[in-house]
Amino acid sequence: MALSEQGLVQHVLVVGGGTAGWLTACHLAKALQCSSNPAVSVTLVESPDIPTIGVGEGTVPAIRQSLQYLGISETDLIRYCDASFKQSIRFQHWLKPSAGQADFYHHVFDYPERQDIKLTPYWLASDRRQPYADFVGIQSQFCELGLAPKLITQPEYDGIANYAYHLDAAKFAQLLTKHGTEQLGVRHIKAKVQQVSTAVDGSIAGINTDTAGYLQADLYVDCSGFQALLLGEALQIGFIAKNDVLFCDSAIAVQVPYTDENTPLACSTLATAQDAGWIWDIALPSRRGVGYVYSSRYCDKEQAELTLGRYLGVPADTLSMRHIPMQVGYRQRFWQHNCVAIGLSQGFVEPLEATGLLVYDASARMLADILPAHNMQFAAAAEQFNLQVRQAWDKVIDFIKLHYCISDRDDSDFWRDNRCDASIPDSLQQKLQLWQSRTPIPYDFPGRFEVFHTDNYLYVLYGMHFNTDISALTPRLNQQQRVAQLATAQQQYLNQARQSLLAHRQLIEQIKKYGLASV
Amino acid sequence: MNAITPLNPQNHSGLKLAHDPSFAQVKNEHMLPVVVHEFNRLALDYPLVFVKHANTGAFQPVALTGLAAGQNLYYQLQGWQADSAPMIVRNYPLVLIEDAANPEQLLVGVNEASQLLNAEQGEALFNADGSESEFLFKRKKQLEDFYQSSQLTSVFVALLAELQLLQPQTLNVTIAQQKQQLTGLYFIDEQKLNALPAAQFEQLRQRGFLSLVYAHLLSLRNIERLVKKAAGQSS
Repeated sequence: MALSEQGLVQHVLVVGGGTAGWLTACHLAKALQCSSNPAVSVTLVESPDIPTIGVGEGTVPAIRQSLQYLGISETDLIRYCDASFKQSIRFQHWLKPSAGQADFYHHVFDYPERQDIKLTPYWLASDRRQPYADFVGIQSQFCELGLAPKLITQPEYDGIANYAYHLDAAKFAQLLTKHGTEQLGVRHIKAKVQQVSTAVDGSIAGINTDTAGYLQADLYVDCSGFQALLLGEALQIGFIAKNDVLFCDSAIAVQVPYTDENTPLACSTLATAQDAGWIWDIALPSRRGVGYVYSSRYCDKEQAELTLGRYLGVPADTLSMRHIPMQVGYRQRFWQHNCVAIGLSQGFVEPLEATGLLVYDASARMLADILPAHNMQFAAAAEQFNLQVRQAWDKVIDFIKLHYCISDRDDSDFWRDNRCDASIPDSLQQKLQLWQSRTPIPYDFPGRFEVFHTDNYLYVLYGMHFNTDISALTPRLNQQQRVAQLATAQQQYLNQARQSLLAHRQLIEQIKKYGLASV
Repeated sequence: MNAITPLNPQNHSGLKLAHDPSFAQVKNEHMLPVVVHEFNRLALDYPLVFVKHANTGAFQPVALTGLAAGQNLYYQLQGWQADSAPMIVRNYPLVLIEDAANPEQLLVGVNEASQLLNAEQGEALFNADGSESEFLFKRKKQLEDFYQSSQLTSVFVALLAELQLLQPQTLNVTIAQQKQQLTGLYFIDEQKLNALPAAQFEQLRQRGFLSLVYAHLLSLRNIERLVKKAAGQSS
């Protein structure tokens, strides 16, 4: 059946201009080639006076592919977003103190498994005194030594080790704004949304603004944050809370200046477990961003402030702390009729593995890839989008929950309750059952849209000394000599790298000064 | 050893500079930095390629003198094996350095570790009355030319980078049945050059950079010369 011209998708309106809004607008404009092809227009409307939440300052390596795809220069990112390189999350105190065992572990970004030999079983068969990440690679050492992940002579987005960024989210949104409007052809309207009107069929009919009149489009993307002005308020799509699985539902954040501008720059996000949550500590070149993510069921605001004050070593009342309530969970649907939600309006979980930006970026890319040409095809696209994005969120929730439910901490109800079976999704329980007797393998993660894979699970499971019993496998482990050779080679490689890699802050300064080449 | 100090009549009055036709100070260098004003001349004898500066990541043109680190196929005890030699080699052991007291000001420095610096052989640096010799005057002029040309060279490579004309290149050669690889080199991509929009191509022409581009491309024929030299040395 031929589709009538009435209903062709010609205008897309993104509502909300935080990181999620601009990422979405950039992905759409890139895929639709808005700068050179007038067939489809992408417009972003944002209120000039709504502050962005601007907390999510961590990313994962997938952001590099997106930035490169969108044509953003890495040098610009370093220069204009106060960005630093992130090579791992350093989890501190996530286990009960134990003699002879480090009180931290690294979830690094380099792949732990080699093509020719799988080292994990050999680590399990060892006395496990050497931290897992140290056994399988050298990036944890880069982090401990404060070394940058790349050389100034390497092209943009290329490195010796795999990496992501820490960045100033507000400045990142500004860079995306500039790139989206100047390079990709996104139209930008600064106006405040006053009212969203709906049509009889339950779709969005248009949006009334204070200074830009009544805006209409063929597809609306709700990037309005926790408010979910379009999908939540106007279309009444409900929210599925997940605070029975992930207990953390509140945060306090503070920016900490450096006392000495030459302070070495950490290569990892520090995630330090507390009695009712954990504290993030992110080092940007010009300041640190620190915050306590906690569960309001186990800790009130005053206690949370005291905990954060204690971590920073200053009295709580001397800090200007920002309290951020968090809705943990996701919408029942993400795409309804002619409205798609991306960003906090879609879903949110605590930022333990920098998941926010990751899921928003992935779903923005997916929307750009599957955006139909005609609104008759919306229903089919929506079904696919809803299914896959929901699965992605469920997998993210499983992975975050893993960090809590395999901990042996028993110093508070928060930690004890986190191990309660009723709080652990079945899908995660089944996997943990499998991993009692074998290590995670790629077949455990078949989804195309899954954002955490074997490597992520390996680092967390064995960083936390999850006890996979591989005794039945022992007769097959006959390559001890090769493993010893690899350990020696790894040490040599590390020594070489130490000669050539700069300290983290030094590389950032060199890049600001000289820039990186694209080749 | 690198002991560069500002040249002055108090410390260096009795000293002479000998001439070493073999340029032994670079006998273990497989690439030598070059500047734009010598491109056309050097292109006849060397492959002129681009590498990245280890500290800044900035592109820099060099003359390839070997196919492996530590190898200089142009060095021979009896004399340098080419009609031309890069200015940086001929300037040695004199260099321009920043004045510690006033970084805007450049001074002539001398590498005091150089064997060429001595009391007997060669040309005197200063006259008996402490004034600079005509020899030093000429060498100073040469250093100034080199410095100015270096400035223009930076502009040239920055434009090449901006126009995205440079492509990473790995040299794979076989010498005496041994495969060898040299990485970290960049060549101008001829296809990209030909596909440049007219306005950008015009930028190259207006600034007088076109002949440099073609000198580089032609000079790549000298890679064969290096391979032959290497084969000759290993047999």
